[in-house]
Amino acid sequence: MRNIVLRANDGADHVISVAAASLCKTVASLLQDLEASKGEDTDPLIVPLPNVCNCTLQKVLGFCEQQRAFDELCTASPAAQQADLTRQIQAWQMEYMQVSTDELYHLVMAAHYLNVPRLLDLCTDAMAERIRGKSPAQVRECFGLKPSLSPEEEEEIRRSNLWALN
Amino acid sequence: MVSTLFGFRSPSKPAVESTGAAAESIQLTDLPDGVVGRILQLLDASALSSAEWVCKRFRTLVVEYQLWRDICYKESAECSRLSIRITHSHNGTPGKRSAAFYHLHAQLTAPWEVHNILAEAEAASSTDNVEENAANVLTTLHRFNPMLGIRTRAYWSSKGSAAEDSAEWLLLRLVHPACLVRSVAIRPFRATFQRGHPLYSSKEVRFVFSCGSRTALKDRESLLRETRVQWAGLWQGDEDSQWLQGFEVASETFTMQQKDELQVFTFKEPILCVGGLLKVELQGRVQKQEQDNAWYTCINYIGVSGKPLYGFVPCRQAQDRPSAGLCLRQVHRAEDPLVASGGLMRMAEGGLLQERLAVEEQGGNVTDSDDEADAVDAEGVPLFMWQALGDFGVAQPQAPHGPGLEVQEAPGEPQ
Repeated sequence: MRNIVLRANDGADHVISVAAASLCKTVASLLQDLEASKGEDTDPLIVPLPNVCNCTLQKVLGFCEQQRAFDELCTASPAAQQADLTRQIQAWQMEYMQVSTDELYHLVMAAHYLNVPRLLDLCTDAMAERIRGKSPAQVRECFGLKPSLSPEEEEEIRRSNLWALN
Repeated sequence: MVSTLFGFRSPSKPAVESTGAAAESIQLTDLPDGVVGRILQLLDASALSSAEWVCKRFRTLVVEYQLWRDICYKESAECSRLSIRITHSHNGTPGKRSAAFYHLHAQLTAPWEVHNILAEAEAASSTDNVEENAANVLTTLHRFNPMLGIRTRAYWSSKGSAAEDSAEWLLLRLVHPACLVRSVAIRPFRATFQRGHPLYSSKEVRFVFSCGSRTALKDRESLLRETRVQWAGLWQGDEDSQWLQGFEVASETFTMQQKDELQVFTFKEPILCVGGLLKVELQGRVQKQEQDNAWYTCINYIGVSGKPLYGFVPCRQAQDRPSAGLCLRQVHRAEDPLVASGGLMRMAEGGLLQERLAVEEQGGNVTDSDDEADAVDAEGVPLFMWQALGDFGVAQPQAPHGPGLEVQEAPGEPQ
């Protein structure tokens, strides 16, 4: 089985299997292109990722490997155990998403860059969870945003929404 | 082998040249639009309304991705077949459009004030005698029956039919062209003046909410103008079945219980009725009349429980999606047909019927109303209306009229 080496921006290498790498759509399509042009090759493929730092890459790869393992378990286990397995996966994902806001940003960026749909879903959900139940000011504080709406614009939103309710 | 792959990019955003140090400080503002849009898409209505105020970018994305529209679609599947056009703004800008969906969502999720939103009976598949017309199902009034020489509960009766499984229908108009309907209550009629007190119910009932196509709506309105003054039941033929086709929404079929009591048929999901027309299909019959050995269907009372979507009217020029039936158009509250015509209290529960009865009475006609109808509450609304609403579980409110609802003196107040 061919291995793939992902190189983070600080030069650290991470070796993963093709199966796990196929969850990253960007790497998968790259692999496909290479195979189409060169045929079978046993050398490890090195993919430099200038946008992703070491710790984030580690985290993303942890996700890919784990999801791969879960997928294999899902196909192997009988239908009766599926519900139990789903619960396990959810518990693992919940634990996985216990990260700081800053880490979450990096994770979202990496998931978007590497195009890992499942991780992106998980991250956007976690981000949405941080917005829910908060006032605009609290959301701004949470994400470190400055109020960029000018008073006129605020007034316009208020007016159009109020007009709607009149 | 080291592949040189610096050209490889993520699908939507070009790879940003960054060093390890710069990558440490990512902000929400650095995330691509697609990702932030996805995050906002996951929010529910209350979270979205506060997210809209957070920053300019959020607001722009909410408008651009039409997130309020998506929220409306989630609220009501019917909504996805409609589109909203805005007449009141200068150009129908995206911001106003977003506000219209915001408003629609507010209307869709507003708390249910349970009102009877039935305004008038438009037509019936057949009517036996003119005194037994379809308008009688709007009210619990007792009326004088000249054939019998006594007062009976007002009811609608079909013509006699030889077939037991034949169907009848009643066409009813709701108070507002855009209504969300939760349940319909029907009371079949028991003829206490006949031997054995037969109950002229039907076997099954189904409700069709007509949205009506664009051209059909026009036909309907001209037809209605002609027939408005006439009693229901005179207007029959192919025309009506023609414009009821197309974009109608049919409920499931309910089984009628063979009892002389108000039976409430509640829909699993509230149904959005655009066009304001409701067709009650009564399938099968259970009672033959002794004298002529024919099957009849008679209905004593029908009530529709739901809420009007204030500020929205159907518009004829469906430009956005011509195949999607009727469009909703937002109007100012003052232009709302229901507000303009005097409000829910005046229109609902056969308000127009009361008006008509009053005219009959002044003309010295043989119509009579029950003594209960003399009693009028502080607002000039006859008390029997509240009794009818009581069947729905509605108490007479202490402050019955919200802002924007103007209630006129009840026209049919008998002396």
